[in-house]
Amino acid sequence: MSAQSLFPLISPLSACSARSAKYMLFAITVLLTAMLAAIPAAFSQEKTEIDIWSTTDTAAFESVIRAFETANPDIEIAYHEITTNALFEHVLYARDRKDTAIDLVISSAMDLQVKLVNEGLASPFSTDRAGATPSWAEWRNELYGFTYEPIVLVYNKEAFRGYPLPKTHSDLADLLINNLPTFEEKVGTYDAASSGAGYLFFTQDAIQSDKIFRVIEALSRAKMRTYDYTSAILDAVASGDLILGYNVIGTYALERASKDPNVGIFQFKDYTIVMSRTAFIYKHSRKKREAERFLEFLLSETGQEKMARDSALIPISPDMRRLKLPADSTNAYLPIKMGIGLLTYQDPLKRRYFLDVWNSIFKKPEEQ
Amino acid sequence: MKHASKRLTQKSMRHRLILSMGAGFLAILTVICIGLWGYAQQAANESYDRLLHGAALAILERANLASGEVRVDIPYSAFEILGLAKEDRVFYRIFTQDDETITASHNLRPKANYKPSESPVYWDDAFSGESVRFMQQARFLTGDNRSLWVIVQFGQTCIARHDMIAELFWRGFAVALFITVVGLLFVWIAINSALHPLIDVEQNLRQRDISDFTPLPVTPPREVASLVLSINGFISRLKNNLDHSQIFIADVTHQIRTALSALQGQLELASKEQSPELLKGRIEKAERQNRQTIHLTNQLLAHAMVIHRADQKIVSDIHLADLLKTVLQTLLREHVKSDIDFSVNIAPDIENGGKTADLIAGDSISIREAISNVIDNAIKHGPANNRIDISLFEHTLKLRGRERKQLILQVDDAGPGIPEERRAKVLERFYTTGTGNDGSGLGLSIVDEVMRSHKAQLRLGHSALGGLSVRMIFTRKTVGIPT
Amino acid sequence: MRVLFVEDNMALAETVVERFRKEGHVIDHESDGDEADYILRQKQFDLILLDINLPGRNGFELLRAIRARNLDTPVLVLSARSEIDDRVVGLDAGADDYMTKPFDFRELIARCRALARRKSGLARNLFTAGNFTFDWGTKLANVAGKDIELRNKEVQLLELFLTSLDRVLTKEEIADKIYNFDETPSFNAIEQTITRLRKKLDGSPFLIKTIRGLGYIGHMDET
Repeated sequence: MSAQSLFPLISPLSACSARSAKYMLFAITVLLTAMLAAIPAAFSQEKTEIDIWSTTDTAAFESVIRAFETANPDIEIAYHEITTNALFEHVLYARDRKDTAIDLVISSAMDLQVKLVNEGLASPFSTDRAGATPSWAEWRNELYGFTYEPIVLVYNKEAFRGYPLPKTHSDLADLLINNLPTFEEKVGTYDAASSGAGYLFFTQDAIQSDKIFRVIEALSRAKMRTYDYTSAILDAVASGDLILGYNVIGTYALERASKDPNVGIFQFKDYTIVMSRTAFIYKHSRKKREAERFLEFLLSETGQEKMARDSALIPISPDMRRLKLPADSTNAYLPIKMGIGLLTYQDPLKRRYFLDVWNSIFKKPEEQ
Repeated sequence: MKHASKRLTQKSMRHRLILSMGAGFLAILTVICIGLWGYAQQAANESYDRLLHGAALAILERANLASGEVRVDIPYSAFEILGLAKEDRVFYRIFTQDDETITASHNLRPKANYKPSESPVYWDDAFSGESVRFMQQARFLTGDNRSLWVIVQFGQTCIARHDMIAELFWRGFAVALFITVVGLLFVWIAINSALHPLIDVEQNLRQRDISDFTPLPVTPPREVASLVLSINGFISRLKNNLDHSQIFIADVTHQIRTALSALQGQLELASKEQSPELLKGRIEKAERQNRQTIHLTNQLLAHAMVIHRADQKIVSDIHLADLLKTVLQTLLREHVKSDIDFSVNIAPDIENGGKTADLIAGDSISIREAISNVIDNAIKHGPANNRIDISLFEHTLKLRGRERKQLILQVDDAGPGIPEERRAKVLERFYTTGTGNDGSGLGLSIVDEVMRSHKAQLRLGHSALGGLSVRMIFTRKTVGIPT
Repeated sequence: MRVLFVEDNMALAETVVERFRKEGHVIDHESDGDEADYILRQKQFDLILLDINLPGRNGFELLRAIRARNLDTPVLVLSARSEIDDRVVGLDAGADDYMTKPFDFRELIARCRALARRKSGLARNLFTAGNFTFDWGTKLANVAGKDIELRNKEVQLLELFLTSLDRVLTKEEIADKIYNFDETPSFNAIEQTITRLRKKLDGSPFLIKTIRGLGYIGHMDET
């Protein structure tokens, strides 16, 4: 099962849940266990089912989950895929309802994860592997990052031919402004208003560099289009609808680039934001022991290696991630630091200001 | 015994010292710990309160009043600063003086009775299941037509604070503990080095030959030196005592052998005597000599007895008047035929006084021996028509404002008396006035021993009767303990 | 006088036995306490001379055994122990007198005679000492064959002294014994009576020693 084939299936439903997550918790539940029911080990003993709520594509995660279940035949995993903002709302809603059907929460929106943990919704978990996790990817012994995913620029090789690849964010701004007619409505990115990850990347851009305002101005003048899903951006680039995809999660882009010769990616040399998928054990989980075993597995050498070899995900382990990162790796990787700092742009007022500006620039009049 | 005494020494010196020093150090350590804990708490609070203060300042700096609306653009640095307490959760609320929330992560309760001020206030409270340090600070915003206080309230969990308190405390504690251990080690070394001269003294004394009376070497420190000097003093006194004993034994030997030789001589002469007339004279002499030897032997035994009984510390309540009468009863019976004029005078206040009027504490057998020796002495050394007055009376002695009752037993005679310069001498053993009488030279010496062992005084003086006056001064026992 | 001498030292025993025989007394010697006890069950004695340190049964035990049998033979204890406690215990145990070794033979015989006389005299109603006799019944005193005329108070006084020879009698004791309630006892009168008695018995072995402040001692000087 490829990511490509999964995305169209999930996307519409996910989009729906993102808008009214609180009322559509049952939105999508892909039970991997259903697919694995044939495994004979199943009836040898009582199985414990843990509920993982995640923003990661099921396809990208499937092999890892299977590997875990093979190693731990007493645990069954119910994997629920959901969008970042919807996941955030769902966890808060579960807390208010004292719902305990969440055991592990995985998201690429690190700021939202930090916010949930700051709410006191995570259960502390200490692991022998904690030392192997970089300090920026761990918080309070509760929130652990397990992937290392650069945020990249995606381009349509065909359409982009003849243009120099921008080395820095300034180069990109220059390129767009100098070639406005070519790039008008041909640049796309996540909709920061609806995509938690998109919001995170842009706010990180804002923190990392002053030049981002030139880039935003350029993007604005190029009438950048916004999307809710990575796959939509990648599809658009592949089809030539877009020439450039800005701030795209590298994991999916690399996966697509390896299969579609028309899709190219590159990383800025001034800085490249690195996002890490983070997981925490839900405080009110009734199966903490089992959830811990899964999280332990994710961080373990076995889990990391499985991720490197059999999934699209780029593991956080320094040894393993080298297998997956693009050959033209840059030294300008800037991982997003987990911690209280990420709460800055989660301030309601600050978020409102940001989105007001965002919407005034990028939202098409008919969409507002 | 040797083992037990060694163990006793160790317990008494080293252990007691190390225990008391240990207790002292422990007390100091406890005080230091209490101080450290307070200091660590204060230091941690000050450090992390500064983060809250800094973050609040950063936020308030970004607050402004634009067209009547409060705008707050939280800077990334504010949370970065708070993020220095890496593991701690943060809650905040920014609100106006009218408690109108501008923006907030949580609906925090403001400090009660808060008066907006630019200086921060801090307090501790529980929130979201953890102990949380809160702070609140305000800034006065002025606009075109409106001015108001904007207040930032922060809450931060106390993990970093607690970690810092623990770290400061344990580090300080480790240092204090190290100092304590080193201190006790020094105390131990000091005790050992201080005790070393004592151990030397002990070994010297233990290994010493019983006949070795050489003084111990006097070495510093001063305290030990003075102990050694005391021991040396004791050794020399012991030596004197032993010398005296040797002299005494030599004296006794001499006296008895001399007496027995004289007896032997008389008997030999008698056995060779032909004339019945002269034989009778010889035998009478021998008999006299024998009687003298018997008396000497009795006195020697009495002397040994009183010393032995003094060592035994045999003490009971004694009614001195009754004792005196018993002694007289026995003694005077042997002198009924004599022309000696005896007179006994027991003071009426003793004779007719209460039960304790003549009460003293002592050994009745020794005192009896002393009294009969004094009277015997008067009889023996006096003329045939001697006059002997025996009196018992009470005397009140005022000593440093305290009254002490004394019972004085006085024996006066009309004998030759003892010249003043020889009165001390007659108390010595085997010293006789040398007037050719048959005194053993022990009588007054026995009396002296008894008086000394009873802490009573013996006074020799000139009697109004012309002879010797002997006073035995006892301390009256004021309260009789029933025995 | 028939005497039992209990003494384990043969040398001393020999001299004492010889001395007593020379004086005309009958004396039996025993060196063992148990043996002595046995003899005492068989024979009558006028006096027992008892040593304290004896093989078999010691002197005190023997004395107690004798007294327990209501045998009132006078006992004179001989002791080599210097502690006076022994003497006291001896007297408490029922001894009549004691002497400490070494002793004067004349003194010993005098004391023995006094003890024996005390008993036999009472039995025969006649007190004899040297040239002095006193008939308890007729109250007649005789010195060297001459009857002594004694007044009533003098007789009472003499009787008192004869029953408590060698003991200090205080004036109070004398006054208590020889004066009635209706008579006014005067120490001066006692003194005068004693002086008269002394004078009347002059030449006899009977002596009265005055100890001023204490009292009088009556004594038979037979040595």
